[in-house]
Amino acid sequence: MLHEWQQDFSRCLRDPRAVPAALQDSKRRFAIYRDSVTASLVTALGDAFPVTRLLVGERFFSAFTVDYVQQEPPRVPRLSAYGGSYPDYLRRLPVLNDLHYIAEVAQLEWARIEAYFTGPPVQVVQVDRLLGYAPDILPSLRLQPEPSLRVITGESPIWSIWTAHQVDRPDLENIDIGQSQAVRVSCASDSVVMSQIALGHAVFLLALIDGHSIFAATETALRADRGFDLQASLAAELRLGSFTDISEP
Amino acid sequence: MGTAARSFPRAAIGLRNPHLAQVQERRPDLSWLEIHSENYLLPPLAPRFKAIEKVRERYDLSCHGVGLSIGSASGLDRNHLAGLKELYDRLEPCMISEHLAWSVLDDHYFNDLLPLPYSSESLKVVCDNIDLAQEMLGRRLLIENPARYLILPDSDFSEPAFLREMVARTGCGLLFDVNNLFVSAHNLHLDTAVYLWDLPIEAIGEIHVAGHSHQDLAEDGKVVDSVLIDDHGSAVTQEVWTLLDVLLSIAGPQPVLVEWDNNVPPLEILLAEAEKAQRLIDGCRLRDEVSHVA
Repeated sequence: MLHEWQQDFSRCLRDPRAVPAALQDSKRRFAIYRDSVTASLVTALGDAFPVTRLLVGERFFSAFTVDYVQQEPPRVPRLSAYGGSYPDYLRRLPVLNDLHYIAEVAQLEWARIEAYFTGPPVQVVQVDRLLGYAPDILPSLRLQPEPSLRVITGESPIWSIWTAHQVDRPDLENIDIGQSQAVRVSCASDSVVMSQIALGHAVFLLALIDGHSIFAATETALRADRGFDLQASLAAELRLGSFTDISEP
Repeated sequence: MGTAARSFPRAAIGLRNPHLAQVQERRPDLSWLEIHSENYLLPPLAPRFKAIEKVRERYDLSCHGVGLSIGSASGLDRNHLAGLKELYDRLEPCMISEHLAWSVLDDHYFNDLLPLPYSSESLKVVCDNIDLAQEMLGRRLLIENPARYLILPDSDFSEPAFLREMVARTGCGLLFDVNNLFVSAHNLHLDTAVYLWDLPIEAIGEIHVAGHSHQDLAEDGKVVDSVLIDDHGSAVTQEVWTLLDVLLSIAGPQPVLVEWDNNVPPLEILLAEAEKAQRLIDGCRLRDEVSHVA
């Protein structure tokens, strides 16, 4: 009986017009709980997506996010894990159809959150280990990316937009909204490290994350970006400690 | 169980993210701090986890769970419980606590502490869940009284009677929130003296105080109801300090925590609130000593 009572209570928390059958005389008091659940989740998402909130403005952010909270409530009691589907939700909103950079920046902000809460790897592959392989084997190797590594590619200048909003008065004058940018995100020992990377480098990393060999990842990267430089990209990633293991075919 | 908070009851503050770095740098003169357990269910190398381990080297910690959902009729989430166990084994907190409320049902998490009718069935659900949690965690839980806004039908027990039964059946302790009593008493027209008379005072292991706000509820533009909201967003009111003093005079010196979770103020304001609580604890100890001498 308590279970049914709680089911009715929780159904009414998700429906702005409903009140549990047993509480018809206390609908305003019941609304205190519904308002608190919604407001606390909107605040949590506002903290997780600060640049997205600035881009759409407080009023629209609140309106979009109230709908999201009702459609996709959290499944686990950890607020740090809530919001992973928010960028996709924004992408599907018809009103943001011509403003795709908003969902892309939200994706970047979520990558940042994920990297922060994942933390850095325990140990990483050093360059010497890779150099220990015979040159004819090297292309067939697979590199295991460290768990906090994220790569976000946008059709819009996500890096320029995100960095511009790290100060109080963003200067958006010189941002070319038609420019595509890619960003690499990972967690170093005490903080998240973010940097803009070339498209080929991004495609290469994404292919490695998908489990492709160095050879296959290089092919994909070159198809996307003829200027892709394997040696420079791989050296940079090894310096940053991006891989936790190497596997042979 | 650790000793700093128990053997020499001290006032403390809830450590929230905006103050994590400052507390490490300034090392305020406190013996313990309280954290929300769910904020630290993270891999050991995650920056926030490493920061709390640093804090732990200097302070005892009370771990306050906000998501186990002791009142859920659908039972406890064992994965969540396992996560809490790993956290507590690592941080070795001096106290752990949960709420007499529910927030999870059938894979939905409501980020709030939802009310329970105080029925025999609820009592059984709560006690079964506490038994399981204490067994899996290998520690005694303190359970916090909620702030209430609704009189629920099908309640057979008063809140203190429900808490008394719960303590007797499970061996858990109480985290007694004075602000929650003040808010509930206003909203449900309870007599705080009668409430405290019925409360199993001897089970109290920690006390909370916090700020609340006032809200008018309107219909057709006319105010028809007026409630206090337990929003932890401001300083503790004088009425709540007075009620704390009354409780301490009955219960004796206890560790007292100041909670301030929204509109979080500068650290020094929070520490000044803890000093006020400390003066009340010290005053109560003094009364204790005088009465023993007499």
